[in-house]
Amino acid sequence: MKLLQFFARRLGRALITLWFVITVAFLLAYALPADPTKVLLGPHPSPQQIAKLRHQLCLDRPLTVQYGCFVGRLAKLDLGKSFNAKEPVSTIIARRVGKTAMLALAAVFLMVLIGVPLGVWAALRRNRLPDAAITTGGLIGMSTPTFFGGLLLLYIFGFQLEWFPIGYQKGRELASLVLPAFTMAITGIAAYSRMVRGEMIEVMQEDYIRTAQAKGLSRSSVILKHALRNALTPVVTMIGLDLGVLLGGAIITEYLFQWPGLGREAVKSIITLDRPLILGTVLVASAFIVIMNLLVDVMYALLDPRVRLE
Amino acid sequence: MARRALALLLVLAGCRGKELAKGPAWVGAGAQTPTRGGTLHFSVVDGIKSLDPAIAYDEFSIYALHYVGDTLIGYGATMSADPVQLIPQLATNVPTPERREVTDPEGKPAPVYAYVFHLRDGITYYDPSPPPGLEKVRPIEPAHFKYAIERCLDPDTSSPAQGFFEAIAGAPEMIAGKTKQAWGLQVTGPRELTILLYKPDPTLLYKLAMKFAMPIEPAVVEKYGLDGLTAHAVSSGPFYVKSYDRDVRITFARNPAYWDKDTVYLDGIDMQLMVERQVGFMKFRARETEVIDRMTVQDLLAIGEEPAWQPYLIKDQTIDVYGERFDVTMKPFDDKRVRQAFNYAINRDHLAQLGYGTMLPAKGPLPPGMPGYNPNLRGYAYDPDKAKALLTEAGYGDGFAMDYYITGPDEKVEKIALSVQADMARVGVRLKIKRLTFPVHLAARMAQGKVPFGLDSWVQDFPDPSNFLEFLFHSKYRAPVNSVNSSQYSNPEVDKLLDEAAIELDPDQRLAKYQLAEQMIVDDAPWVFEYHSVRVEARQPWVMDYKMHPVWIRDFRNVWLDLPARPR
Repeated sequence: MKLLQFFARRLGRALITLWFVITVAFLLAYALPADPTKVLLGPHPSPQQIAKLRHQLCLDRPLTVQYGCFVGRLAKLDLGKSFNAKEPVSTIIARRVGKTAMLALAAVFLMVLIGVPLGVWAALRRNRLPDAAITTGGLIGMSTPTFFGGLLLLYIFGFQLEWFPIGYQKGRELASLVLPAFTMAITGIAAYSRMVRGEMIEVMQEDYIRTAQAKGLSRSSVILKHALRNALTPVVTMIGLDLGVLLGGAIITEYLFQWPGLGREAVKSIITLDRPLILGTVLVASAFIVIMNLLVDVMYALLDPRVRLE
Repeated sequence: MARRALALLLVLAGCRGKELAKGPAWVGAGAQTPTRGGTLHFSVVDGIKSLDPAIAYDEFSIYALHYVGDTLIGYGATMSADPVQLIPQLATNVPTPERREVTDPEGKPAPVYAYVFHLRDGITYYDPSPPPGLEKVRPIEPAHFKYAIERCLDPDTSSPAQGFFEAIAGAPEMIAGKTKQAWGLQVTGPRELTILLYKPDPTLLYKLAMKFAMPIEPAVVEKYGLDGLTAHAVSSGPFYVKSYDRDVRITFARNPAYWDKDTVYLDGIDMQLMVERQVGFMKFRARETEVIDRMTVQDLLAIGEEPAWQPYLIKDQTIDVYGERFDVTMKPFDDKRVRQAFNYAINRDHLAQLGYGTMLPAKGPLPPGMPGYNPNLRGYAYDPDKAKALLTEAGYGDGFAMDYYITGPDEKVEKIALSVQADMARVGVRLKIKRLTFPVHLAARMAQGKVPFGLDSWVQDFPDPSNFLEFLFHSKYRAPVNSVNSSQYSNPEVDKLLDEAAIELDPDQRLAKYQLAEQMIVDDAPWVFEYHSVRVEARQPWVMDYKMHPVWIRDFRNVWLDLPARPR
């Protein structure tokens, strides 16, 4: 019962957050001193044409009315129609979200798969060469801009070595996935290894580890069963939050690798001032973050009963 | 250390002799005569907006429409140095207007100019997935051209081409929403279309060569609706749309029912959309694509200076003008001397150097390659002293500060902006650079009283000086917002010359009037005309007979692939 209450409270908060985000996005998209009809009608439209199109797109009504329209439609799960593609925004998002999810999952998988063992290793070899190398590498990884890291990977593994396609190739989805997933994972790998390293160092000094060691358990058993399990709790949280962020679409990575996901739609919508699509992509991206946050909260509550009392 | 690390990386990377200095690693098979077959691949930096001929108006949509659609008349030229020449395409003739006396729909006598087009026999559409009840191959009728133009005029279509066809009799009534047809568009025989104009319009034929005037069947529009033509493009051109994934890729295959089969050698075209420029260059070097343009400066320099690549570079003039435009209604630019001072102060030769061969310094709005281009136009030589003197004369001897609006991020635009800023600082004008996103910049510069000084440009719709001079400088194109005449320039003498030239049927006299108008405009200095673009492309050695078309840019008619390509 308490869990249900907790869930309901968090859900309520999540909805308020979403409403807030979407309202801010709406205001920003409409506050821009530019006219979407100008982008749509080319260099020399007549004033009548502009007026007509503005009417068709609801742009001639006061902001409050437009906002009312927008929220009303949203309540019916209608995101409107893209100005440019002339398709329902929901159709566009439905078409692209799968590819974005694929990329996000692959990236998080790589972050954990590589980041966690590196962190453990660094912790066990604290203040020695592997630790220094992993920590320095992590610093570089975290500071590498996606744009640069992606181009470098493309140049080495796509162009020079020809291991992977340069950009997205239909029919070779998996091969096309590797480089963008790695590009997105670079920062994450660094972050995860740092976090796991810190947690491991802390956990390894706990009394129960000493007890386990004193009982004569094997080193691997102490590390894997006792230490790592406890060090991984914050990692679970981070996976949830990272997935939430990445599922909204990776703007630069998707653009660089021609990955047909939500991120490209987001870029395109902003460049062309396609307001329904801007709002649609913002809504989806923020919904993912909010949902994953909610899930993490609930999972925490399940794992650690103390959370509910807070 | 860094160098060692890089060397190590390259060793790791296997370094398979992919240095640019050696030139293309693969060459063609060595065929002496054109052969059929093969698909040509290329990437572009953006997506395409629409395949609806009444709507599509951006560069890449027009590439695509050019592959799938022919028009009544086309262009004979294949590069900018060729004289502009119109040739019959779906029509068998390029008509000259005849004077006629007809009666208008209200029964009143109307003297008109008539353009009579005879349609080629056996021309058809190709529709690989036809709607129920229709064949794959269907005849093209004169009524379809009438319908296509009327769609552009119809206010419900929101076509950017509406204004192009307003000279046709009955068009203004259609534009105003009073009628659903323009009486000046008449089917006068089974293979004959007649277009009637109250006033002569020497540019009508160019407008009919634009993709807006591609034939289109009413049945298809009725079936797929106003927004359905991108998903269901019917071909009247050398290729048809085989697959389309918006902003990812569009592929074309050879139209098996095309009337002019002999000019089509390629089996298909693969156009990859929204590809980042450096990634596009890697794709080209990895032989994934066969032609490349819009290279970044470093890529352009890398390939452009290698002797081994010279035979595979294509350079040609694009018919455009770039520069800074003043709002002549805003202080201090309501004073001609200030505008002229800016023109003297900005060093165009230096700007051109920044373009590494992609910019030709401009004297006026009309570029070389445009009919009526005047090599003897009096422009502004770089002369900071004169600029300073003019500013002093206008009362700005102590200089002033001003916002300078550009779009971005774009490396070329940034460099130009910095150079302009430095030039102006030398004469005491302190420019503060403000970057706006493209749509915001567009709206701002086309509104009166918002942007005193900022970047502007114009690219041709068709090769006629009216397309530049009228839109940009005739006072009738001024408006408080969405002003095509973005400098708000107005000179009654220029207007008069432009109006006279617009209906002048003698080509020499017409061009002379435009040259006169252009000189007056340059003297009044509503812009700083900075440069015309030179486009540099590279091709793979097996892409044969490819030139840069002056209007369509990427025209692959007569282009063939010397396959199979082999390592050199």
